[in-house]
Amino acid sequence: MTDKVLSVITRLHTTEGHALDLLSRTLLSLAGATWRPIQPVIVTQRFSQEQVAAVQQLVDRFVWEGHCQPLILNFSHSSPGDHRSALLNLGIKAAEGRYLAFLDYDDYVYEHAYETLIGQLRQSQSAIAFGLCVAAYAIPTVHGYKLTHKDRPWANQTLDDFLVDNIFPPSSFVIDRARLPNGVPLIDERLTRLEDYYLLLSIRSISTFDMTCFDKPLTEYVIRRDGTTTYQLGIEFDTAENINAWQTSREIIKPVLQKLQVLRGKPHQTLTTLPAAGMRGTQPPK
Amino acid sequence: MASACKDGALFTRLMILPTRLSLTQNIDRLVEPGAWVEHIPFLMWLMETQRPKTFVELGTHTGNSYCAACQTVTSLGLFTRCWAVDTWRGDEHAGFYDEVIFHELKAYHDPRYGSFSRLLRSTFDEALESFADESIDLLHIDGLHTYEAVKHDFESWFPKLAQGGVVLFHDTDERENGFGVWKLWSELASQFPAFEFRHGHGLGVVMPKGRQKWLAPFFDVARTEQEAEVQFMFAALGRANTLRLNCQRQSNELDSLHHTHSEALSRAAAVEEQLRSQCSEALSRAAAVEEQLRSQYRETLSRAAAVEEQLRLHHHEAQQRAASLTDEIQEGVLTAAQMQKTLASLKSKVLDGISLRNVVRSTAHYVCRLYHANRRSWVGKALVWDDEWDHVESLMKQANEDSERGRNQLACERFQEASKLGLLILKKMRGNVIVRASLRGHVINALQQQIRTQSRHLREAHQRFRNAAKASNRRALLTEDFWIELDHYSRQAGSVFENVDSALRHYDVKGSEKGLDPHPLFSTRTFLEKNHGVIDPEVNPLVEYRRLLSEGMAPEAHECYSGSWLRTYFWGSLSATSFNELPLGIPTPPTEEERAVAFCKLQPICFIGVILFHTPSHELSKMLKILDHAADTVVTMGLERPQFVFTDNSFEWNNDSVLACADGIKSQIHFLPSAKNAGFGRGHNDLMQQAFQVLGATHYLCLNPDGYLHPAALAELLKAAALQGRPALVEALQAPCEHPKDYDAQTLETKWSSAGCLLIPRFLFELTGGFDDRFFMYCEDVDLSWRVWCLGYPCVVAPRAYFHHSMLSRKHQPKVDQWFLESGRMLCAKWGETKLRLLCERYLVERGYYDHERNLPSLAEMSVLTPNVKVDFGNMFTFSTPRW
Repeated sequence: MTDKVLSVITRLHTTEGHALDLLSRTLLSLAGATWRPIQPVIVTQRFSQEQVAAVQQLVDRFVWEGHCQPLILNFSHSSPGDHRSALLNLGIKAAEGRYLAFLDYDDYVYEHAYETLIGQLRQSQSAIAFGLCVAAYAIPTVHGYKLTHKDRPWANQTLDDFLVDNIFPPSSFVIDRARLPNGVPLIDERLTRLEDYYLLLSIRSISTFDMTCFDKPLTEYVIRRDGTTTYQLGIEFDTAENINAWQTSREIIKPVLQKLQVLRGKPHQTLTTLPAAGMRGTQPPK
Repeated sequence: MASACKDGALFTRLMILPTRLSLTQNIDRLVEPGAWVEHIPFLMWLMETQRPKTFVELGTHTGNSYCAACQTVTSLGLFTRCWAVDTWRGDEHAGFYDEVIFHELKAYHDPRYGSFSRLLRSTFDEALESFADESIDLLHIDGLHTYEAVKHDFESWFPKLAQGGVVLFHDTDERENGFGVWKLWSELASQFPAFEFRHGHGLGVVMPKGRQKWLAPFFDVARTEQEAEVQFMFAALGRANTLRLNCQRQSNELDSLHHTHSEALSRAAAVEEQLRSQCSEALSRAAAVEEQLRSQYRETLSRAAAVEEQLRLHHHEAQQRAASLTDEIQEGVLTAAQMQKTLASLKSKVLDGISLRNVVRSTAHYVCRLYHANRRSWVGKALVWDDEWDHVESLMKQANEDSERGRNQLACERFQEASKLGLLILKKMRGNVIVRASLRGHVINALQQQIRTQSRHLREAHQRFRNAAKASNRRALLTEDFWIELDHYSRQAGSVFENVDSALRHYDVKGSEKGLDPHPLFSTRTFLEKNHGVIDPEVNPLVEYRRLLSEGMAPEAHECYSGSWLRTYFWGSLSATSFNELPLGIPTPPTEEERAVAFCKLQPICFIGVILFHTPSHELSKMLKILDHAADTVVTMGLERPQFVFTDNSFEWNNDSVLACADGIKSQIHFLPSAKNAGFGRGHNDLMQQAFQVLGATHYLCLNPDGYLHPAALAELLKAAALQGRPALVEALQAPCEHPKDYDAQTLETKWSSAGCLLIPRFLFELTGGFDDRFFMYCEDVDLSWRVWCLGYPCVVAPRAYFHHSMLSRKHQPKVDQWFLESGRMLCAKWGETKLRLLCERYLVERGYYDHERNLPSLAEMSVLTPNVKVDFGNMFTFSTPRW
């Protein structure tokens, strides 16, 4: 675990469509970040050699001077199924940085985001610090996507809200692993939903949340209006498989959540507004 | 004891002999109904003991007794001929049944016993002739059990019974349901040697043609104490058959249940398989439907986005049309004002032309009427003026003729002449004062009449103008149909309107006066009441409402909804949209081939220009690598490798030191020493001069040193430039936080281009002379963009070219703030904007950069441009409608 290094884990599910173009913008935001060094960790699931090579080629086009050379980890588990939690754990285990962050392949952080959050972590005793994520809405055009407007759907949310549903998009926080016991944060690999919520709940059961910067816009969460945004793709139909996946994930999370609810003196609440799948687990409020 | 000995002998006789077969033999056939099965041991004993030559059974049914007899024959190897007589259709006691019973029995019987036994299917009477008299050794009568029937059977078959033959009667112990065997049995038992078993519904054994000693023990014990034991013994043996039959029945039932269960299991398995198949199919279909729904969802979102953009476009067009109509209305107002002036002028010139002629004619006629009135009072007194008056009359006549022929001028002159002469005559007649007073009164009346006429004409003209203005207003309203809700208004007005136009016309003429509501959310009365004093009551309320909204107000217009809410409904959501002329629908994007063709046509030679300013060596080194990667991408497109041209406004770098940082850089680097720090625009102008005119560049990328150029950005900028097909300023998208200024999603045109990462073609540099170097820093790019725009060339965005530019993390620097405000002020002065300029000046003083506005830098040299395009100062320093 290297003291100054911030490892940023990005999951990439495909190389088709605009995926690599969007990833390149995400990488640009990392390469241009004012916090240095950053170690980008790109985890892919069962990519072919050609796909991995395409990602590597893209990564190599950037100049990572001042940062660490990015890691590309291809999760090649042969068993079928959804290994999203294992994928994250793969990235977490390989991450070398003391600091840990997550960034979806189609999101980006403002240049000072990590500098701000790590600066805040250094001033506090918390193991995690949060910034505000801005929702940016994009429409498809002949030239790609065009941002049309932005808003701040997660502003003014509180920890009480967090104990009902995840209010923190994955790009909105940085974790200080030096303040967490070994093995944290690792995710229960049975989880095929709510894995990011689980991660945050696990940390919350050990450490306080530093939300000093939660009013500062630091990252952008792009919602593409053509439905290709991950969380929109994650809008699931009530198939038996999906219902079961949600149910299983809820059951795994339930004890942790209830424990925290009791500690906070809140009555037990069930997850009512279920987030969508994956790291895109948190949808902007309607 | 004697009795016991006697009994012992009997039992030996009874028990030892039958045990050979009846106690050990398993009964091969035990079937339902089992009424007879308890007598099988006795029958076997009887067969074994009697060894009959002929056995006949009347009434066999399913064959329990008959097959037992046959089995006995087979088992003991007897030479008995057996006959079963039955119709196998049943009777009222046994019940009627179908052919299955017979066929099942036959199928069992024939293979086993067919060699010595026959199933004779006939009535008992019909069968009689088949048997010779006294030929039957053992006769079992078990037909219809009524007394008459069984008696008939006994009597008719009695002759066929051999001497010493035995007759068996079943159901001797049944007395219900018309059974009458017991009755016959009681008659026979009193006449012949007989023994009756009471178990198994009763079996009577009788020897009507002579007692045989082998059966005597039975007859002896009848009605003695030992009978019970005999009864008990055979009943016990028979009971075993009943139990066996029950067991068999239960076994069959069990088998049946097993079979049923097995079948059910098979069916369940089949159903399960079917359900699995259906489930699998349903899942497949669900997956397909899910995929289809996802696809439709995405497509719908795309369409919704497209529709949203279309709506934006429509709204923008509507706004433009509305603005155009507003101009027309304005023009109409001006015209009306002109008309009013004209009418006022007419008032002053009321006596001109025809009016003058009329007044003069009226005056002349009045003079004539005065003369004739006076002449009448002087009749008979004097005729001295009559000759002179004739001349007046002559003039009047000629003047009238001239007037009728339109010779107004001549008519006026003649009327005036006639008036003059007439007045002279009148003066002579009545004196000067009276005539003049009378004449003045008349002239005033005539003038008033003319003024009233002209006023009427004026009012009519004013009304025509108002009608025209109303028509224009209606046209303005028609640009946005949602101001009137047709069904709602039709209900309000009580008549059906075919279209919005007719409804609006009705509202304009009548509806608004009646207080009808054109829209469920617009109450005419509420609007008029709440906004009294700020609206023109003469104007259509909708027009006034729209005007107030356009002026940024939120007037009350409904009892239940706030003005601000209504504003959002009618105006806010649309007014928030930008100019954003997005395409109607999503057009087909240019293919890669089209891009390649356009790209090859361009044949650009591109230079990247950067002005260094206190740039550390490691930053320069990194920048060179970043630029080199960007140049690599251009090379992979088959184009000439871009070169770099640098200058340093901090005077820290020279050609050698820059080259020293360029280890491994493939692009050629040029360094242009800077004489002085003359600002951003001047620096880049010098670099452009060098690149375009010395080094032969076709394009110049104006690049800030504090950013990170995406490796594909330069290639994307060049592509975008090529696709324009004409010279254009092409800027990269600022990342990670895009500049809020809007751009056209299809044409990519934008109101101005940021110079942070801006591709400038040589043509436009030579056309414009580059940046205005009077701007030290900031706003020079806006100025250049507008000048390019005024010359008819566009500013466009390359949406896939990203330039990471740190803007959000910048700390406040007073000097930068000052430059910004000064440049903004200069831009305003140059482009004729006062409001923003004054604001900049105020800030420059308030923030302490200048102690007084009079000490601000002079703008005297800044000649004011008159733009032929609509530059945007309404959005402050965004200079464009912001997207957020």
